[in-house]
Amino acid sequence: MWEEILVPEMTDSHAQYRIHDYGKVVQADGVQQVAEIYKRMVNLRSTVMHYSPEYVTVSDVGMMSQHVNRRFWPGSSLLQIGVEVDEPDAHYLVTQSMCMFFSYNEKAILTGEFVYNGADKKITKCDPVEFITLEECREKLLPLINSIEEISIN
Amino acid sequence: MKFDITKRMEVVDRAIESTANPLHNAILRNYRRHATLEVCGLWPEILVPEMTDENAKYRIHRTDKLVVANGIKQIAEVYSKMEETGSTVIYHTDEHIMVSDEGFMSEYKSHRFWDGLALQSVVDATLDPNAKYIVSQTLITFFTYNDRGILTGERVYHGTDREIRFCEPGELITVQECLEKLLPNIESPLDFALA
Repeated sequence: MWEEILVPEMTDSHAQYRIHDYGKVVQADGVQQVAEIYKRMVNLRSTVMHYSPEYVTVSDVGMMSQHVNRRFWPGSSLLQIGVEVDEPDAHYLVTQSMCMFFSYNEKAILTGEFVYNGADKKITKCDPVEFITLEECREKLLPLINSIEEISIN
Repeated sequence: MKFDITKRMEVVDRAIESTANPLHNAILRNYRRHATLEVCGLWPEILVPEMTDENAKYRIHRTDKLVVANGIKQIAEVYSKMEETGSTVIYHTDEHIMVSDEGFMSEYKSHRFWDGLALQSVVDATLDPNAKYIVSQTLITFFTYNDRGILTGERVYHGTDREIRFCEPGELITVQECLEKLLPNIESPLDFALA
């Protein structure tokens, strides 16, 4: 449901994303280019992730977070991006430290994401009981989500 | 244009001035002293009990590998290597810093002076061994502190946007210059120790 992130009430139309990942930096300037990043995540069926442990700090310019990211990937998607795995039909858990800075303007609208992937990436086969589906996320998280009206600053 | 090294921590200076929480203030002032000592090549003074926990952990996520150091003996080796390569002089631009009870996080563009000879071995063999270079790169860091404002860990992430450029002689900032300009104003650990 990334389209709902890229609305003016949430994200500035000129938002910049910089994702530092091993020898390359993924850059997106403006919501059209940012949308391509999210489309790719959806196409690779790798949007479900959780963080632990996480530390977060906030200031007038935005928030920073350091965490261990645990992201679920279909084996076939990992193969598609060039990662060798044994079973394309299995699910894998990609674990990696990350640190990020999200910048916001004075109306608390996102103006940028600066994400740094750690050099400690581990890929393990996901135990079926550990696996979290997109459907489970929708069922459990959407009832708790704030509306834009609830978080907007007058 | 040569950078004024006395302005290398202006964002941190402002954060200290505007931070009333005693623990947060002590964390930022510990960091300011730490960074100044590091730039001046005086790293042994960082690794004292008043500044750094003896079991501190460093995790430096470079673009090619993870550098791990557990405890101040291993951390000393990280600093020794910086000193050996003559690359301790660093200044930051475009910095954002945020502090909490666990520590602080900072994102900035690092500009670090390197001898060509040292840089040849770690980055690019075609560089002039007799020249000086400036390596610019975005970084994000999370430094953790205990409830007395003592450093317990550094987690450093290097961006993948590194740029190397020749350093004009007029731009060069030496360790000697840092010692002369920064040390007269450095705080002692007693100035920010929590009761």
